Amino acid sequence: MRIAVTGGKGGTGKSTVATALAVELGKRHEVVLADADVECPDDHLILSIERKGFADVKLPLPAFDFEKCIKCGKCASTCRYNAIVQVKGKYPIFDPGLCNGCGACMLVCPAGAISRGQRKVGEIFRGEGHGISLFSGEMEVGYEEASPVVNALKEKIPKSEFEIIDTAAGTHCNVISALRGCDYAVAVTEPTPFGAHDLELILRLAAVLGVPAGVVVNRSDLGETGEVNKIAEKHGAEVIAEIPYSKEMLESYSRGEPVAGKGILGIAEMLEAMLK
Amino acid sequence: MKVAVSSAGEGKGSRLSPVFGRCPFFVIVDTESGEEKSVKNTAAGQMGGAGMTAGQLVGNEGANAVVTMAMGPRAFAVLGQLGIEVYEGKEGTVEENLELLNKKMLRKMDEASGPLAPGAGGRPMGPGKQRGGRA
Repeated sequence: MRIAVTGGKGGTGKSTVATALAVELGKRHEVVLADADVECPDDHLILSIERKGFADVKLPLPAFDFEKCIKCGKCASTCRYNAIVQVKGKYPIFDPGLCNGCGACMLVCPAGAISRGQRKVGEIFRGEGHGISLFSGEMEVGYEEASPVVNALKEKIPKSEFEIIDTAAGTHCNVISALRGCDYAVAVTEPTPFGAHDLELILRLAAVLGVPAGVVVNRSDLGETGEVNKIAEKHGAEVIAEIPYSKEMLESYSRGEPVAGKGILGIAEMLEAMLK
Repeated sequence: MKVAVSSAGEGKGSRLSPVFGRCPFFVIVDTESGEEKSVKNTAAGQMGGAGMTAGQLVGNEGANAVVTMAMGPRAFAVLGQLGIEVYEGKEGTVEENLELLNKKMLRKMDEASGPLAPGAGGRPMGPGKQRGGRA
């Protein structure tokens, strides 16, 4: 079963919940935790798991053979990203920084002068610890598209009883890519106006993607839960756990040790029942 | 030689535009015959990489040299590959700049004026950095 842990707002406790949940389920089941926050993956630090390089994520990059090139300019006129320009009678000029890897130029070249080269856009790391397998995705710094790395991560993780996908904050393409095709989404929020606003957005996104969702209210004793409860109900999402603030939990988390309290146990139980 | 000057409007009397990739027009003048042509810069409104396309445009017009005030690294690289020289213009009209160029009073640019503007990268983005104010 593939479960996304998401939430919209940053800092609500997605990774804390995802790592704690993975370790708890890992006591009784085969679990893979995929850290899909590929811009800033932290799960390996929360769990003190040493990561080793597992696979590079590569995107196609055109490679020009100017001996075959007939200077027709089709590649330049086809490129939607303005990465290729061509002046009449001269060879095309290509800027890899603008290239999106779509491959259109390779398809339209009548002389077969453009071949499929590659460029590294990210890396997938792997580590084991606390009874689970962690796969951590990380984008090349400065590259603009997180989705290819998120998608590659999801493709590379081995099939497992539980696949927990820790998504990034927000509702942008990297989160969309992470949520797509999941069986369930755990939306972690907090009892504040910011938490409520972003919860509305993430639940709407989950609905658009057809992923059933449940809500976890983290630091539940630090604010009024009325608003987030209303929003959950509005979207037909069950509030599956309320986790009160715990200094002990915070200290444990900062030491790189997994945490588990009643809230986490409750979520694990619910997911195990769903598996059956 | 044919000189392409980044311009705020059509005709030699227009003000020199401070940017290359997204200037509204290019005024192209043949210094020998005096023939003059104004061309709309089709790169001005596109999502990233305007410098690339503007470079292609002046290349297709047969320019040997460009006069502008600021140019990013992409445009600079494209013009370099095409063998087109870039000169740093001064505040004033296109005509005044052509005279300065003729008297060899304009500095030749040996590197781009500024950093890379954000690329398209598959996502629509607004007009790139407007260096030197709107043209």
